[in-house]
Amino acid sequence: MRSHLLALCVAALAAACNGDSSESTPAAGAPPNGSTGNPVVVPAGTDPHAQIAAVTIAAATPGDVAGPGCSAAGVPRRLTRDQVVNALTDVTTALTGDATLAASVGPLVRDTTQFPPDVAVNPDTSRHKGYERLDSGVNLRQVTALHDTAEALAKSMTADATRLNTLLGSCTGTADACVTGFIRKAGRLLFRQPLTDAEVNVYRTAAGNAASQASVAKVLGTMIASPKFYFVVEKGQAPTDANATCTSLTAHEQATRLALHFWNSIPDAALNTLADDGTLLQPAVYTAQIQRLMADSRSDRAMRDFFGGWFRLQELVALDGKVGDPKFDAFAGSFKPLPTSRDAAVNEVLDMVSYLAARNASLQQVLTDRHSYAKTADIASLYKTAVWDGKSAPPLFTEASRVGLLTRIGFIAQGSTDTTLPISRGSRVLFGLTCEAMPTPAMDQSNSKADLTGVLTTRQRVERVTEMEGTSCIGCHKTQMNPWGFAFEGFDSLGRARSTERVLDDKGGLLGEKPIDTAALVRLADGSSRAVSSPSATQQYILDSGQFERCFARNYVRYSFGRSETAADGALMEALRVQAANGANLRSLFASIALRTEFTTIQRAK
Amino acid sequence: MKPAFNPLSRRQFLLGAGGTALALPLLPSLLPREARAATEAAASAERFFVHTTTWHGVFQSQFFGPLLDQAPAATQSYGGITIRQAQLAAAAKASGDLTVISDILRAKSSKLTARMVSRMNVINGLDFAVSGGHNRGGTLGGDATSPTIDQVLAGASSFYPTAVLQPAIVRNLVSLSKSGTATVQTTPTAESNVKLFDRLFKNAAGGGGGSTPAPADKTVLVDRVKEHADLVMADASCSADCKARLGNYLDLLNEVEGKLAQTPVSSTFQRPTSDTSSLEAAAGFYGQPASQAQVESLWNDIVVAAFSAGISRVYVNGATSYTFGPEPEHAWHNDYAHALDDTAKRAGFNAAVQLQFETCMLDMAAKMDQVKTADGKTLFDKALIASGFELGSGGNPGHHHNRCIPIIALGDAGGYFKTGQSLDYRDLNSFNWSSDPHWYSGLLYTQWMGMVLRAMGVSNSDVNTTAWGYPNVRGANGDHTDAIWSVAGQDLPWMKA
Repeated sequence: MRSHLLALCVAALAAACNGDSSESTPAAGAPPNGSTGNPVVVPAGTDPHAQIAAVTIAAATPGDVAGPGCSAAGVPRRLTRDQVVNALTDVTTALTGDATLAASVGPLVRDTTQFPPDVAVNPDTSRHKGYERLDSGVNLRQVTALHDTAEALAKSMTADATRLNTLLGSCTGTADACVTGFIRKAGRLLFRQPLTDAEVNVYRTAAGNAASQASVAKVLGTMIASPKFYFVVEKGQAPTDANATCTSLTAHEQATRLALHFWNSIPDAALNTLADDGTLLQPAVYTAQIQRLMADSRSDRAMRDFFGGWFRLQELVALDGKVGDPKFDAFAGSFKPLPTSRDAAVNEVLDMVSYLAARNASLQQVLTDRHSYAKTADIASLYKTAVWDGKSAPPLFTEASRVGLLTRIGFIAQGSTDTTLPISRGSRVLFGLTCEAMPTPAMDQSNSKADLTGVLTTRQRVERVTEMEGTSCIGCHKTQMNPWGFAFEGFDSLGRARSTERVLDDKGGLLGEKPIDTAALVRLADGSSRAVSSPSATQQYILDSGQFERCFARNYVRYSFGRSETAADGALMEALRVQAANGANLRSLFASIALRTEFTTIQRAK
Repeated sequence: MKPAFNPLSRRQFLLGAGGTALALPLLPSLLPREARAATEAAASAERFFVHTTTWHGVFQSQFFGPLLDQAPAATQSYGGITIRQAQLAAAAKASGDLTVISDILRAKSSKLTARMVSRMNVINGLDFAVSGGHNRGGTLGGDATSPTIDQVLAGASSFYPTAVLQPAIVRNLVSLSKSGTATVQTTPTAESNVKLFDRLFKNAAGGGGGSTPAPADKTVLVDRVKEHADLVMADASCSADCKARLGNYLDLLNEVEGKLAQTPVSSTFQRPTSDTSSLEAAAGFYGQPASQAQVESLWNDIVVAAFSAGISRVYVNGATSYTFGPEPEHAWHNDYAHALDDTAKRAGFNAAVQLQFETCMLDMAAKMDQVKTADGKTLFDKALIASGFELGSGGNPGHHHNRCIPIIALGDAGGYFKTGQSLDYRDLNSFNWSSDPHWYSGLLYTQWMGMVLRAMGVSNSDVNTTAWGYPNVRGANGDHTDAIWSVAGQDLPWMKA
C-alpha cells in the first residue's frame, strides 16, 4: 500500500513582517529523525511583506509507518450550500464564460430559491455552533431549492442563441453529435469525472437527440438535479490485493476531495486534466497539486471557514440590538455599534487568519498575533488603532492587555449585553479552544436566594449566584468555568479594555464604579492549574498546556472528514498535533492532511 | 409509505381589511353529492396544531397568579398525588379594558373575551422527565432521540391522510427532526414572512413567488434523474448506505415534483409588504418586545392563509431568539430572565411574555376563528393552540429546571378537550426547593404530549402514546414515582371532553 505519510519540516523563519520584536515568531522545527527525500516547497504568497520564504515538507522514507488505515465509505457526503454555489459558479464560468451570469448563481441559490443554510453542527453540544460540513442532513427544502436552481440556471444558460452556440461550441456535426459532445463536457464538470456511455445515453434521451435551447436546457437542468452532482459517491480503485481492506481512491475521486477540501468547489481544468490522464496518482504530481491549491487564493475560503467554526465566531450576535436602551447607551458611551459591526468584528478575526496564513505563520501565532486587522472605523476605534487598508502593514494593538485572539473583538465581545458574561467567555475558552468537556448541569438546584444587594461588579454577582457553598453549582462554576471568564473581566462586553466597572441602573444612571478583579485560578481537566490575573498569563497557560494544538487537531479532523472523530483517528490526530506543536505553518498544517492515507484511501465495499 | 398526492379541494377566501384572511364557506352544494359529503367529512376530520415556545422559566406567581391559591372545584387522587381543578372564568377579572387572570395572562377584553376564556385551559404541574437546562424542542416533546410532535404530525398518515405542500411550518429553532437514531434541529421553513409567502404561494401578481413551468418547459426531467441514479446504484461498489442515501434523495425529488403542481396561485392573497426581516434587523430590536410581537402577528397572517388554502395544518414557533432567547449574549437572558427578583425586571419580563400571549396566541386564535371550512366550522373550532415554557417555573436562582412547565391551551381540537379550566397537577406534598416562592413537582409532560397527539387524531399505528405518553419511553425515577409513570399514557384528568 502506498504511503502518503510525510513529515513536516519548518524552515527557519525571518523576523515578523514589521520588524517588531515584540511579536512572537513561529519556532523553527527540525524534521523528524530519519526523514529524507526530496523536500517539497510550498511557496509564500506574493505579498511584499511576506518574511518567510518557504515551508518545506520532507518526504517520508520508505519504511516510515503508514497511516493507520482508511475510513469506511459510509453515507455519501453531500455538497454544502457554499459548495453548491461555488461549483455551479465555476461550471457556469467554464461553460459560458459569462461573468455576469456566473455572479448571479449565488443570489439565485441563496435568495431566490431559498436554499437553506447548512446547520453548523457541533457534535459535542447542540447549544453551540460547529461546522457546516458536519451537516449531513438532506431535507425537502434543500431538494426543492436544488430543483428550482436547476430549472432556473439551465434556462438562463440557454437563454438565447448566442449562449447556446457558446455551450455547444463550434460544432458542425449532427444535432445528436453536438449535444452528445456537450453532454460529455458539461457532465465531466458537474459530476467531477467522465461519463460512461450509459450515462451519456440518459442525457441524450433527455435532449431528445436535439441540440436546441430547450433540449440543452433539459440536459443541464437534469444534470444539476442529479444526485451525482449533489452527492460525493466514492468507490475507490479496483484493488489489486483481494485481501486488502483499503483501496486508494481513483484519480477523479482524489481530485474531487482536494478541490472540495481546499477550495470548497469542484476541480479546475488543471486538476481535471491530471485526473483524466491518471498522473494525479503519482506522489510528486499529487503533492505539487496540493501546493498549487494551497497557494491559490481560493484556499482562503476553507481556511476561514474552518477557523470561523472552531472559534465559534458565528455565535456572536448583533452588537446594535440594544441601541436606544438608556442603560446600553450609557454603557456604550461614545461608541455607537452599527448594524455591520458584528460582521466587521468576525471578519477582523478571519482577516487575521488569512493574513497570517499567507505569510506562513504558525498556529500559535493565531493565538498570539497582536496586529489589528480592523478594516472599518468602528472596530478600529475599539482597538484604538488606525483603520487597516488591507494592503500595508497592519497596525499593532496599542493596549498592553490586548494580547491576541482571546482579546479580539470578534472573540471577546458578547453581543448586545451591557454587562459581561464571564461564564460564557469561560466556556468558550475551555470548551472551544482547549476541547475540555463539561457535563450537563444537575437539576437538584437547592440554591437559596443569592444576596445581590449593593453595588456589585459582574464578577461579584456571578460568584454570589453560582458559587454558593453547599450547592451543586459550585463544582463546575467555581473550579472550572468561571475562572476562565474572570481572567478577561478587564474587557467589557463590547471588547473594550477597562480597569473599572461602571455599574448602571436601568436608566443609565451611575450607581457606582468598582475596580476590576481578574485574579483567577484556572484549571484544565488533566488536573493542572495556574494562578492568572491577565489575558496574557491565561494565553500563556493555554500555550504551555499543549491543549490548543490538541484541540486544533481534533477539530481539523472533524472539519476535513465531515464527521466526529473516532478512536481510529487517534494516530492522525496525534500527527496533526505534533506538527502544530512543532510550529508548522498554517498552510502546511492544512495541506498535511491531504497527504495522509486516511484522505486518499477508502475501505473496500464488502 | 407516503400518502398519494391528491388534487386538493380549494377553499375560497378573501383578504380582509388589515390583512386578515377571511373565508367564504366552500359551497358544498355546488359539488356532486359524493364529493360534497366527502369534502364535509374531510373538513370535519381535519385538526390544526399551533404551538409557541416561550424561552426561559418564570416564577409561578407571575404566570399563574391567583390560580395558585384558587379554591378547587374538584380534587382527586391520581398517580399517587392529590390534584385540583377549578373554573378559569372565576379567576378572570375585568380591569379597565383588560381581562386579567395573572400578570402574564392578561389581554384586552376585546381579545381575551369570555368566549375565549371558556375555550382556554391553563395547566400547572407538568414536569419534563429530564432536563439539562436550556433546550430547543423540550416543549414539543423532543429530545436527543425523539423528534418534536410537529414532526410526528407531519409524518403521520392518520393526521395527514392526504399529503400537503408543507406538513409543518416551523419558525425559529423550536423543532427537532429525526436523523438516523438521533435528532437534529429542524430547518426553519423560511427566514421571514415574505419568504414564507413566496415558498408557499405562487403570486399571480408577479410577486416573489415562483411559477410552475408547463410540462414542456421543464428542464428537470425527474425520470431521467432517476435513470441516472439507477446507474450509480447498480454499481456493486455503491454500498447499502449509498443506495439508501440516493434513494431518499429521489423520494424527496419526487415529492418536490408533486408539490409543484399543488402550490396554489394566490390571486386573492397579496404578497406581504411588511417584511419581518427588516423589523428584526432594525437597531434596538432585541429590547423591543412590541416589535417582536409585530413579527409574530405578520407571520400569523401567512400561516392562517396557508391553513385556509390547505397547505398545512401545523405551525410551531418561538420568539426570535435574540429578543427572548436563552443565549446570554442577547441580554434578555441575564437582564431579565435571571433577574426576576427585581421588581422592575419582573415587570419587564411579564410585559414581554404577555405580548406573546396576546399578539401571538390570541391573535392566531382570532384569525383562525374567522376562517370557515366546508363543514361550517372554523379553523379554530378544530384547533389546539398551545404554548409552553422552555424551562420550569420556580425559585431563584433555579430557573434552569424542569418542574411545572407553564402551559396555555386554546381551543378544544374538534371537541376532544374540555376547556375553561385551571388544572393544577402539582403535588403540594412533594419536596419544595425554596420557600419563597414555593414550587413543587407534579405529573409528567410526556402525558400532555401524548394527549395532544391523540387529540390530533394520531393513531397508535403511527405513534403509540398509550404507555408513557410521548416520547413513549419510561424514564428513570427521579422525583416521579412508579405511580406517576403508570398513568403517563392516559389522558390528563379533567381534560378529556
